[in-house]
Formats: sequence, structure tokens, C-alpha cells
Amino acid sequence: MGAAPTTASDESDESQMLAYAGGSTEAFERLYARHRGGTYRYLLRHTGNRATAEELHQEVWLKVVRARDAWSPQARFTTWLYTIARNGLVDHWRTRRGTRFVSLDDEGVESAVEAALMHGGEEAGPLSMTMHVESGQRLVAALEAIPPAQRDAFLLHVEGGLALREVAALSGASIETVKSRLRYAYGRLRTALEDLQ
Amino acid sequence: MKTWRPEEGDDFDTAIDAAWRKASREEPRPHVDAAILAAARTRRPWFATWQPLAAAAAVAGLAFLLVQLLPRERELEQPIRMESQQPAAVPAEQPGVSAKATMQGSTEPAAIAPRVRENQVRKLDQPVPDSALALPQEAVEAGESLSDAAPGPRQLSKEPRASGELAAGAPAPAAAAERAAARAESSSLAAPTAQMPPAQWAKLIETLYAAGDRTVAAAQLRAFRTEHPDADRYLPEALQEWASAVE
Repeated sequence: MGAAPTTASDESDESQMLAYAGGSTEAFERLYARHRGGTYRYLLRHTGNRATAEELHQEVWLKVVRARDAWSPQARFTTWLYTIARNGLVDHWRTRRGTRFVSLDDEGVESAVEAALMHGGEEAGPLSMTMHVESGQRLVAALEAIPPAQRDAFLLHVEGGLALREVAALSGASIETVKSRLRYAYGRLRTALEDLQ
Repeated sequence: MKTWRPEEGDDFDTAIDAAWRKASREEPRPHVDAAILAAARTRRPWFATWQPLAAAAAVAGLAFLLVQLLPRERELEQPIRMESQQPAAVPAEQPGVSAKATMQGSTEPAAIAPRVRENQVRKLDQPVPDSALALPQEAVEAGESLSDAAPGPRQLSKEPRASGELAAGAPAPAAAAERAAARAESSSLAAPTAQMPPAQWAKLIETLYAAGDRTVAAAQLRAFRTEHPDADRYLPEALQEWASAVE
């Protein structure tokens, strides 16, 4: 997380969160409207199950609600929000896979996570729910095929809107590592679209 | 995203980003949104805000009470220690005996002796000469001759030291045993003073009383009465009331 306090303009996420801590529920509604889709899709792409994604999504936002009084703008709101989401995801996988710890950064367990996502009982496939456009299906299928660490970097970057350094700080990797993961992910998605054309 | 400003190197492929955003449009169902927004609208009750402060105040209050109670416990311990140490003071004041104790390396009675004198002056408000504390040489010798039956002054000078050592590091249950031993010692103190002149004996009792060692003083008074039926007559006015209570 960034150490320097973030100055917040009136419309920024940070000022909305502070306003919510001050009692403005409208500020929370604005904040939620901005990020509800991003957090939900981030969780949906990782879990591949709508019900699980909704459950985790609800938990994430309830944590935000509970933390309103203690929150201070030490970092961007989105960085904090996606840290909560990511931790919730890791906890979810850890619970599902017993005591074995599964990390999104752990390249060694990527195949195990991949297998769990692709063949995990009720979870038929992570990204095959409501994609109607063929290019979209291709993209989803391509993202499904890449290792979780790269997928996570891509989703944090695109769905969360996090900058490279924020993704790096959140995932505990170096900026160069994150850059490399993103290049790989974009390359796979680009190939998927080129095959379509 | 409104708050996101791409940094250098952040733009990998805008076409892929656009295609992804076009394809990925799922959103949580309304009932999920409703549950989250309902939770967000629920304000915490006022007491929930003050609960941590109230808990902290309660803990602080309990800690303060405990701190207030602790010195009282120490005060209770002190008289017990004093009681177990005081028999050591009496033989220390006896000439010959204290010299022997010093020769044997016993320093505790000598250290306690000045305190005994201070107490005597403070409590009776009249100076008592050191000679009043002295036992006649023949009494000391008589005490030594009785050492088989009862512990003599030399033995007594050793035993309180041992009990003093116990008091320093012994656990609380040992204190009761020490007190019983001190009582037994005090009753045996009467033997060497049997041949003492009545006035000197009375002075010794007065000194013991002034030093706060009532048990030994009472034992001496009983022995004094046995030897001299009119013993109470020799006691000063200040001790008359206390003496009447000693059976």
C-alpha cells in the first residue's frame, strides 16, 4: 500500500468514503455504484460461480461498511477494496481446499487452482456464464487458460482499474513481475482475438 | 474508472481493454445490492460507539482498585515478619551474648538492636540506660548451665538468626511455625533470669514491652510472678494495665 496519505477531491472515492464515515449513506451508494460491477466481476472471473461470487462480493462490501469508522485515506480506496476482495478469495480457496494454502502469487499451485476452477463440481467453468458475443467468449476462454497470477494481474488492472504499482503492492510482487504477467495475459487475449479474425 | 489515471507503462493494449469491457458486463443481482445497501444504511447504536471506551474505563478502574489493595497486603505482611524477627533483638542486647554472636559471625541481632532502643525511647518517652538491658553475668552462666533443658542465650542468639533466614525467603506457611518457635523460645527465656534482682527484672520486662515483643515480655512477667509474688509492684505505672491482663 502507498504510505503517503492520499489527498481526496470532493468526488473521489476517498472523499466519498470519508463522507460515509461521517454519516452520509448517499456517499456509500455512489461509491458502491462505481465499484459494484468491478468487484463482482473480479470475483466471478476467479471463482467461476455466480453464487460464490455474489457471496464473496457481499462479504467484501460488508467489510467496507464495518470498517467505515476506522478507515483513513492512507492509500487509494480501490487498492484497499481489491485487497479485501483478494483476501476473501484466497480465504475462500483455502477453505474449499482444506488446510492447503492457495496463493494467487504462487506459481507452483497454479495448475491445482486451475483444475479446481475448471472441474470443480458445481463450478462448471469460471467464465462461461453470460457471454453472448463470440469475441467475448474467446476472451473469456483465453483468460481462463492463463495462470491465476497472470489472470489476477489482468483483472486487478482492467476490472479494478489499478495501476501497475498498485497491483504490485497488492500482490506483493515487483513492478517488473506484474508487468511481465500483464504482457503475457494481454498476449494470450490478443492471440484469441486474432484467431477469430 | 473515474479515479484511475493510467501511468507510464500501464497501457498495454487499449483494444483488448475495450473488447474486454464490452464482453465482461456481469453485475450482482438486485437482492445482493439491496442487502449491501441495507447494511450500509444501518447506523451503529450509540452504545456500540462507546462500548470500547466503557470497557477500557472498566479495566482501568479495576487496575486502580488492585493497585490500591496491594500496599495493604504488604502492611499485613510486615507485622508477621517483625514478630518473627523480634526475639533476635533481646539476646542481642545482652552483653556477653551479643559479643559471642558477633564472634560467631551473626550480624543480624546487632543490626536490630538500635531499632529496639529507638522504639523504647519513642514509646515510653523516657530514656532507658543500656545497663538496664544487661543480664548479670551469673544469670548468663546459669542460662548456659541449663542449656540441656532449655536453650541458653547463646543458642537463642543462633536460632532467631535461623528463623530470620527463613523469614527472608520462606513462604507464608512457614511464618506460623516461626511464631510458634518464637513463643517456645520466649517461655524458656524465663529460666536464666530467675536469680535476677526484682527491679532489674522489671526493667527487662519494661524494655521488652517497649520493644513491642509482648509475648516474650508476658513470659518474663509470668516467670517474674512465679519467683516474686509481688512482681507487679516493681513494674512501672505504664505497664500496670498490660500486666493486669497477663495471666
